[in-house]
Amino acid sequence: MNGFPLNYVTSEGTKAAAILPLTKGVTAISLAVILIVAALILAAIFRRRAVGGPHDLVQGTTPLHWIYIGTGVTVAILLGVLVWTMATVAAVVQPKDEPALSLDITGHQWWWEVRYLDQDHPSNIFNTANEIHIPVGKPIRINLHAADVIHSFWVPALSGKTDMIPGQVNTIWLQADRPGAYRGQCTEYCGKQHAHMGFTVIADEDQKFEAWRVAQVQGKTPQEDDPSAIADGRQAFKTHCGACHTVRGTAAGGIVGPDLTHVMSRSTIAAGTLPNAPGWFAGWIADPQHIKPGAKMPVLDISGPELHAVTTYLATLN
Amino acid sequence: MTRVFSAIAACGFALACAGCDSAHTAGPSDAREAMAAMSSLGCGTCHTIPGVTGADGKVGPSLEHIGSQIYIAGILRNNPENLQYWISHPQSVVPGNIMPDIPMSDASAAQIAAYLETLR
Repeated sequence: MNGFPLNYVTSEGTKAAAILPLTKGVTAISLAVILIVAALILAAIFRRRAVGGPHDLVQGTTPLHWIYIGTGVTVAILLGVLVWTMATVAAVVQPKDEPALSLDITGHQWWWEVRYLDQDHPSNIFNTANEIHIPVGKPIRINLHAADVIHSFWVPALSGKTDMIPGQVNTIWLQADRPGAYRGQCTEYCGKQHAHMGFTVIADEDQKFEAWRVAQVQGKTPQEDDPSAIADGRQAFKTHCGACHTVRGTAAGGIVGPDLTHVMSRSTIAAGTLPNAPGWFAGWIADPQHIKPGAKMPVLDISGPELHAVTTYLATLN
Repeated sequence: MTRVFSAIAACGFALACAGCDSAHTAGPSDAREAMAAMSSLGCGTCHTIPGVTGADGKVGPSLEHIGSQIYIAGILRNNPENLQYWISHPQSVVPGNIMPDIPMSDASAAQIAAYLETLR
């Protein structure tokens, strides 16, 4: 699947690039401390008393000055790291340029709702899920919400983690410096399917992103000349799925689960759990509780032909 | 020192063999390719299929003994040609059943059918 592994020792974004030296520096200092302490412990273990009876190992001076040296060095290093950390945090708290795009991202058990905002053109606002497209090389503002419990938003290649807290909006920004697909993951334990709460950030060149955005804004209004298989599927979808899922332009307008208006444009289903391909999709709809036990999507009481009609209809939502 | 080395070697051997299970049952390369195809097509979301990692679906029948079944989908005699046809065109065999027509190459379908026929 896209963007694996969750690699936090390389960076593809402005913000992650600023944090990376700190990560590596602190890790190096920690390793040095471990080595020094381990060496001293080993020296203490193997150092023997002289033959001929017990007497003090240390002659002459008291060893107290080592305590002062050790504490002094530690405090100096910690203060240095503190200043370094604060300088790094200050450098990434705001983007240099005004964000090109604002998103509302809401953590749900166990998927991500993504709303593209547009202050000047409300007709450009739309919802999608689990796949976040952004233009490359531009800062993006993201307002983080939570619908139920605390989640945490993390795209290691682009930015650090930020919690999503019910009743509070945490605003972050991120920027991808290179086109690509970057895997993200919920990193605050949020219940049974926490591990299956993934997403992908897809950074595209301006033109490609704009084409995607324009396509996403469109609804899926029923057409007169739709084949009957698709019309049947739409009807079955409205009856069995529409209470939770939206397909814009149709009677299906539920807001419990992901907006499926353009579900076929996404590369994964079930929040990054399965590839979006016919076999996986059919299996997911038929038995979501086997794939993500505890997920809010139930095993539907639906006949075989109706279920087939629903999958046929969904395959047209590109 | 030799003892330490042989202990490490033993551990390494044990670890290396922890992943050997599938290698034992893999058999010839056709079977391995069939398993890989089923794995990437998502057959395991609906079916339990021996040899395919994670294929423990309960939506459709388990394929553990499909090689000894007399009929496929309750309608076709079970032979490699029919099984291959069913795998690639389930909707033309039983229209409206929930198994989708998954796009796949004829070669893949033939490999999958041949592998499934060995599950007796």
